[in-house]
Amino acid sequence: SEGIASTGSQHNLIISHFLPGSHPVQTQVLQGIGNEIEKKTDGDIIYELYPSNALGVAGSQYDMAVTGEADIALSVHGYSPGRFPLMSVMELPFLAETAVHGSEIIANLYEEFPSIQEEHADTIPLFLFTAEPAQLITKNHRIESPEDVKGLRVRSPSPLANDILEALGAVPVSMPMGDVYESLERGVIDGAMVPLEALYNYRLHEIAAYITIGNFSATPFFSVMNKEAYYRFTDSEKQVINEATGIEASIESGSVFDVDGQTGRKLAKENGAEVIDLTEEQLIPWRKALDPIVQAWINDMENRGYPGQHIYDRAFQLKAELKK
Amino acid sequence: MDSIMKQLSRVIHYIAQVILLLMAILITLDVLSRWILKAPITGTVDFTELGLSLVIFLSLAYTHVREGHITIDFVIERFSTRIQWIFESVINLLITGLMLLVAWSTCEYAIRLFYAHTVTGDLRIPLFPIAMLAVIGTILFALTAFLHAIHYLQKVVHSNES
Amino acid sequence: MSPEIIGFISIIALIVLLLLKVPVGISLLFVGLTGTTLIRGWDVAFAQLGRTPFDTASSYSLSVIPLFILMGMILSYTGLGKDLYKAVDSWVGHLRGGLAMATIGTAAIFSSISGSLNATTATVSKISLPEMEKFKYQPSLSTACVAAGGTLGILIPPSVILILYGIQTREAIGALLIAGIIPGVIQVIIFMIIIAILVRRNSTLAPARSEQATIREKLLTLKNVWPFLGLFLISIGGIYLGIFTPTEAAGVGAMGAIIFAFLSRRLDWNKLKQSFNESLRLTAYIFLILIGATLFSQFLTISRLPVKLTSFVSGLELNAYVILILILIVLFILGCFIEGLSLIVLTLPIIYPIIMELGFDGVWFGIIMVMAINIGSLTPPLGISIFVIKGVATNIPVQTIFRGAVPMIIGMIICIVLLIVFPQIVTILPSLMK
Ligand code: NA
Ligand code: NA
Repeated sequence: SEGIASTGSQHNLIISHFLPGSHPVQTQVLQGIGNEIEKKTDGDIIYELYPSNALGVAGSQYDMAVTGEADIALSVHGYSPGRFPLMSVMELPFLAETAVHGSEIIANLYEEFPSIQEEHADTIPLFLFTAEPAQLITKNHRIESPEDVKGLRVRSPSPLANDILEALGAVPVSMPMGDVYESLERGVIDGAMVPLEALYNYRLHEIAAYITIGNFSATPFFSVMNKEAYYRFTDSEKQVINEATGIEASIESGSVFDVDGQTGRKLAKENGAEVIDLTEEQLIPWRKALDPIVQAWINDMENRGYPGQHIYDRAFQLKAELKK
Repeated sequence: MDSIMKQLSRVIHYIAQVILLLMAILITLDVLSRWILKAPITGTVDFTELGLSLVIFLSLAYTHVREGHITIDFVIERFSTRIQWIFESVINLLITGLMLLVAWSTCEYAIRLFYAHTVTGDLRIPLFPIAMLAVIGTILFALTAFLHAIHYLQKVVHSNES
Repeated sequence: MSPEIIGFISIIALIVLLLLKVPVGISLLFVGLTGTTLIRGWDVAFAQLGRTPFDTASSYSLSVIPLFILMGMILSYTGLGKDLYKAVDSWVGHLRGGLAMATIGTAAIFSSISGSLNATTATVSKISLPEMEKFKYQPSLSTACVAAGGTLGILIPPSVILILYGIQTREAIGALLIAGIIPGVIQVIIFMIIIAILVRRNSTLAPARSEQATIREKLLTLKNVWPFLGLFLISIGGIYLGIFTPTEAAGVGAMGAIIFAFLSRRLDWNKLKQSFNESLRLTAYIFLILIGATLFSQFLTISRLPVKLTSFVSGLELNAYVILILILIVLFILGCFIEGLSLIVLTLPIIYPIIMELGFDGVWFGIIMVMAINIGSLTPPLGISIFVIKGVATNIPVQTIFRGAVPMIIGMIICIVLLIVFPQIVTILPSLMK
């Protein structure tokens, strides 16, 4: 019979994630990986996809991979606050420029830093990636300089972004993503710090009138495997899994976010939104305002005994190296 | 034992009431402060989430003390009172067992949360102690159900003697 | 045994447990745990059992349930609900079934400040049921009104489910929210017509005043309704002026009710305590069901039964409307076992592409789908709305509530048929918006 890991050497991978089933991370990345594994193992390893938190909430996806509730789980590091302190390096301002760019940086950082690997030690990480960097979208306020953000209520995507917004003089507001649409439309919030893909995937293009591009923060994602599930496989099967995942999967995941970001940007423009691409010169006051955030992050990590300075420096080195 | 349990779940119930009131107050203040002063109260979402879980787990037992959890009784009603008591007793034993399992597994979850240093988003409140309070609430629920089971068994035995 | 068969047997086991008087939440928990153990093993089931209750109970969006209920309790314990129904009685009490119709109206009003089915149903139950009982309405009719009225909560904006539908399908959320308004109004009218028919056929269901109240009497009753109107205006005003989110509206509403009650000197320490007491009892009661329902739905998901069933129906080579109706029937059947939000995320990835392929409008289907799911919340064995009402009206047998809801379910089916025959009912407002 199909669907259950009971017969001989056949394994059924339960893949769980928080994105909608229509999201390209499922339809392209995860299905692509699943199909490749299925094909290369002659159907010994099959898979089933469980999108939209059908098996558990977004903040518990990692734990589900730890316990084996899911064989593979995919979610956002920041949804389990406190668990992955070092991964928040990607959330620092002006680092990732596209999702592919951010995904390459995060994949390399993972390879190079044992302390980052340690954060994922209770699972087998398959690939890490980022969404495209968060920008500022607003309904009534045109934003060009940090002055323009002062006093605006802006939905923040993460605790670190709270600090970024506060440093800019904005008022960070925490609310679930599902509440953003109505809140922005009615004015509970003046803006939101979101990647452009949210314009498309959360329909915010219906509302956003101004989009200020400054690459303020990028959200890191993980896709990890349950350890027992992984070690149960033969060496050649492990090989197949390793080949299907890794850095290529990181880049592929990044690229689907970039595509959605472009779609979001296009939809918003068609809807009459103005896109403000901050120039290097315009970015100077922004950088000045946000410098303390970087230093605070480094100090915080160093105080906790992590190589914060080292990781930050390397991240920015990689930023330059990996730029196309 | 019976009255200690009742007292205990009543005290816990009071705590839950205070938390619910605080949730309403905090959300209102947050909204007003964000609207008028443009300064929301950081951590309102955190407090609402944790408050909700406390409110629920601290009320479960008390609700069961008053036999407030819903049942469908039109089939059971057809049997004699004595058989109904036996059913009640068995069902309460089932609840006891299940809730002890929930408590045990939630305790393991709490321990995982502890080792993962998981906290809330804004205020960085550790989740582990809150989950442990949920464990305590669940154990109280289990104990309450156990007392119910004994109570109904006694009724059955008593009706045999008379 | 294949997972699908385990899924099927579990549904039967669930029904048996419920009939044996095992509490609903416990039955769901037990069957979910056993089923997951059979399919995925004890370790997985145990981990899930530990994680799900805490995760479900610490969900920000579910905080509307206790807070909205608290608002309803305070309105009820301070007699504001009573005054509301006195006023309604003086205006429409001479019409047979007038109060029942007014309850539908009250539910529609609460629906416009609540995005949640459970919260709307619980609050309206608490305010209306005791009052209708005082006016000698039969429980089967009064609970039917509340059950039917509560389903308006997700049709009339704000609506958590419609926003989720928009995010899942990338249909325009603005259009979806507006699209629900006219069907919501039509649904209200149909419910009222049904009430009129019911009380005409059986006059013992609802008494009528022998004489009309005088204009003076009518106007006098209004002066006691101001706290209720004030609270409603603050809530709806706050949502639409962008002062707070629909999620926050519940907290503000509860606080507002407490303040209003103090201002009108109706709230003493005892009543305040009783309101909180009842709110917590009802909250614990609803959440035990929700926790069980989440575990059970995670198990059914793993059994692949919903997916297999939906794929099977969607893949049939039949007339588009036949497939549409089969899909709606499947949604309705699954809705008998799975709560609305889970059902949407579970089935939409399969159903939505088919609906598009068949050439139907995505916004229109969103509304139809929500209505089909609404019916599931009123049917046994897992009729969450019915259980919520039972939680408020503990003295009314649950089968009376289920039976009473039947005419309302027929009304909901009539409404769906209307929307299928005249899709413009749904699409006209969104198209005007463009
Ligand atoms: Na609503
Ligand atoms: Na149902």
